[in-house]
Amino acid sequence: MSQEKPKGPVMIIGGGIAGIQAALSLAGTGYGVYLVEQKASLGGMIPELHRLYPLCACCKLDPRIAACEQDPNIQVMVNTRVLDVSGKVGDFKISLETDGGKKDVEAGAVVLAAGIETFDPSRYETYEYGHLPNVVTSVEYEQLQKPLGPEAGQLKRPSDGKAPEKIAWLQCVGSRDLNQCDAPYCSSVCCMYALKEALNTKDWSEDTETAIFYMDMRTHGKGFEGVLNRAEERDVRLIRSRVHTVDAFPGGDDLEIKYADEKGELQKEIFDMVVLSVGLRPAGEAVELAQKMGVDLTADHFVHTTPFRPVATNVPGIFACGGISGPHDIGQSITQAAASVSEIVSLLSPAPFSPPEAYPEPRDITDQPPEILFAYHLCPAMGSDVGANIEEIAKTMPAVSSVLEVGGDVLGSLVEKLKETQATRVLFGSCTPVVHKPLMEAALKQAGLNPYLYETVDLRVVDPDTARAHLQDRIRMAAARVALISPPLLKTYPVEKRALVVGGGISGLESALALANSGYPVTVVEKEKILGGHARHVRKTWQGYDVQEYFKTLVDSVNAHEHITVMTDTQIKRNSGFPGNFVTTLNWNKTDVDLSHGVTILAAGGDPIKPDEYLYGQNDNVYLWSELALKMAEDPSAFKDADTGVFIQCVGSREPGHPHCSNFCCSFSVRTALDLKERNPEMNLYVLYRDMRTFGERESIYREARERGVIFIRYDVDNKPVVESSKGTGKARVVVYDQVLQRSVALEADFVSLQSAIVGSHNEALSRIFRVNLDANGFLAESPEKLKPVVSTAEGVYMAGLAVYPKDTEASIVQAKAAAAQALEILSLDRVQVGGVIAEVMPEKCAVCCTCVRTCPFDVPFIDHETGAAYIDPGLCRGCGMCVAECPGKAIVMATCSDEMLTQASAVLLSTS
Amino acid sequence: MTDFKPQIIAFYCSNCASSAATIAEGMKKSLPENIRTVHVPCSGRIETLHLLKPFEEGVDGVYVAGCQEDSCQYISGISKAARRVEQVKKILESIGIEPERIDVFNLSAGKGDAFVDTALEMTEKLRALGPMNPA
Repeated sequence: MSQEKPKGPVMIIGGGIAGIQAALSLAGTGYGVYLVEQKASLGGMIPELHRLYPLCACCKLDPRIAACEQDPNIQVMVNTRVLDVSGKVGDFKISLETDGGKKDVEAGAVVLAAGIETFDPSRYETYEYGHLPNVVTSVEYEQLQKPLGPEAGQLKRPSDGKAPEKIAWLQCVGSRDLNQCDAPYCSSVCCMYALKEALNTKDWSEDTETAIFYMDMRTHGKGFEGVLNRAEERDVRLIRSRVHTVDAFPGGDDLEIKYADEKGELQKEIFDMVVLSVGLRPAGEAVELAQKMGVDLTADHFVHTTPFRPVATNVPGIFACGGISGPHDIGQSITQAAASVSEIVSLLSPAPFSPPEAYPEPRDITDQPPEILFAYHLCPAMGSDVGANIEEIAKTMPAVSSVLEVGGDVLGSLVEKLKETQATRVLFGSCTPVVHKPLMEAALKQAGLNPYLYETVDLRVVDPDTARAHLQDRIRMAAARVALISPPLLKTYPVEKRALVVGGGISGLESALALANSGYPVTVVEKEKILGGHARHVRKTWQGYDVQEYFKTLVDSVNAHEHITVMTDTQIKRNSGFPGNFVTTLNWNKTDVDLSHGVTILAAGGDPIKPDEYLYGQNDNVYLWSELALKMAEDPSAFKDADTGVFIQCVGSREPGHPHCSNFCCSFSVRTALDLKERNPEMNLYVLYRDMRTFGERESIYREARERGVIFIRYDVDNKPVVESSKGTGKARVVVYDQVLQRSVALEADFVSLQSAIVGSHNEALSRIFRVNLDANGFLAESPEKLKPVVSTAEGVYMAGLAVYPKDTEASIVQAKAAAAQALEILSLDRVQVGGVIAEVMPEKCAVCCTCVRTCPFDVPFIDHETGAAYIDPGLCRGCGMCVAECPGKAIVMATCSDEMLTQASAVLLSTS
Repeated sequence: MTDFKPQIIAFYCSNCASSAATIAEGMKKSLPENIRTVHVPCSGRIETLHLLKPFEEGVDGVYVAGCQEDSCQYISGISKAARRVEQVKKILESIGIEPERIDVFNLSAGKGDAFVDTALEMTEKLRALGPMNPA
């Protein structure tokens, strides 16, 4: 294992979100990075969009672009095309063409992050795109909606500027269509963006009628089903149909849509505007480049990868992430980018362009009166008068010495202004302050100040009538508080260079292996006696790859790895500490063991729920999907002689109790049905579904299954199939109402497979022990900082696999590697800083009464006999402030929430009324 | 009497209550103007004096909004806050002020409605009680 890795910088081709993420993460781990973008600026597709799901995150892209441009380890090259790539791992030669001519650079590895385009619908005659001005693409619609766009957020239809009262979205334009547009796959993101656009339209004007014409509503991602439900609550009409044509309606600019409804009957309806939900495809030039590099492509012209090494191409040292490797959304692209980083770290030693940044010592400001720099960031969704209001309010506050509106390079402009004005405190206003906290801390550190000398103001106001009053209150309060903050104690600790991985399934083991291959020791803890989790009964990936064979190799590599310790049959009892320095108490063999580690990866898995319907547990021919798969894995001839098999989808999913979609059940059923057909082509197989969610390139197996005679019958949730035991035969008789035939169909099944909802297995316990939040469906919630899909709500704690959200093997592996890459950003540091929002004892006032020792919920304070006073470890203190409140001698202080702040609060607030 | 708008100071814990506030905003609901908020890292940080001070400044009511008893990430923060509110009630009563002018509420991170409803409930209660210092 200890052979020398080659060394070198990394070439990233493509400056969209995936490329940006990969660059930042690599630079953060010590690599020099070239980031090449063909266009004049970084950002890719995101700047064209109005609001990202699930929250507006426009403010998250600009700081990332700025961070790329500033990082001495990232060399950004815009207006640059890659002509050719040659060589091998550790020694690639890349020929570039820039404004200034041609240039060659050398790199140790290459990340292909270039390229997605949207489908050009002008080749479809049926939609009259390009001829009728009120037929627009979804990207054009985003521009019309965008507050910063040409119409400043006032939606007007192109032909006559009328505010549209009735808008239709047509799904699958340039997707799921082999005949006209050569894109048989599902683009995977369009259902969600159409729902988002419709909801944004409702936000703009609740009375606008919105209708989405679709085949299957595919909201298969984390939190997506909630958006679908919200859309239905707000009267977004969902029309299951096939659109025939869009025509100009005589006598005006309106449009008539002719469509066939589910029963096959032709319908007509008039709309003011039609939005074409255009699909995604790999960018032409990027595809050509990939071919030139010798990278294999799929039939759909995406970069080909295997499910077990999802970001690795067939060429060693060349990785692919984002749109070039398939129709992915932003979250998936970011996760894949991080996964490529993990692959590179295992392969290549870093060759940084410059040493890690050193911050100046914080200067002493004890005797200076507070001078506040009030910086604010306006989000395009905010009212136009917010900025003016802020400037006016700031003028009335004497402690505010300067005011600065920031945008784009927030960090750089803050540091510069702080240096220029010599201000000692920052007050920062934005729409979601929590997002900007790390930025504030970095700016203060770079300007030579204590990083906690800031306060944030939430600038979002809902009711315009009280906007000014609310803003004024908040600003005055925050200004009063920031003036009172005294620099809190800071300390640095060495990083404990070990990772704890919770869960010994595919995700846990892949994370462990990625970290171990990067040179860090890992302890894997598994509750069960053997490793495996659900992997033990996953037969095949949707493409048909053998999961058992892969899994055996994975377990063998983990067991053989010198850096990995596996602890099975082990429970987790407690966790304390802070990023870089955690201690977890494990119970193994009835003994408690303390493990020190710098980072934690939670990959504790999930389980299908046991249904209490469809005769599960009452008829032996009714299986849970995991049982069916296990039986088929153990006995390849299982069900070979069956005459009829039925798959029932969404069992206990997408209904109250478990409202989420379990993501991979549709693909599971289709794959299994295909394999059963392979064994016995005469077998009658039925899939009873609500929406077929074979998203992305999975659409190909759905098509294949239909071609091979698998029958798909849609059912309504209010009219579910009924399963009864057939008298005599004991078979399971399934009765379902067929929406197309409009009558009930009875199926005598030899076996029924129930695809039930997947839920996290141990998430409640984990959320308590590791202090992470769960989302509304009980899955591990992602960081409130947004666009960090594998970072939990607690710093230093990352997550992967079914505990985060149901997903298939391939997606679990991507996420596991991404979690490992994020964890490296802490593991690769030598020291971490702690302190800030914590309680601190003033020894001279301490009477050693032990009240704090008894009060602290985490047993942090103890009596230090050397000083004769209580001591609170700044690394372990969690900053609740309870001991501060309880201390009878007022010997404990909290710089960020002092008594002064709290007693003066009401006076400050009331003085404005 | 009907247009009496009680001035209220609300102490909010930065965990559950603040998440609830964010969700409320997403639901297009906001606190009425008569509620002014003070954020604390945990409701257990609040002392008796912090709760009494607003009354001295002339507000009509005070409340603490913290987590559910079983979901406080600092374990006992909200129960400590509840005890302090009880103590302040006694002090208020002993000096002839209605103890109902102070209260404590358990919010949870996912409940945006409850966040705004709490404020409305407190406002209604204080409107019934009338101003602290009738002119």
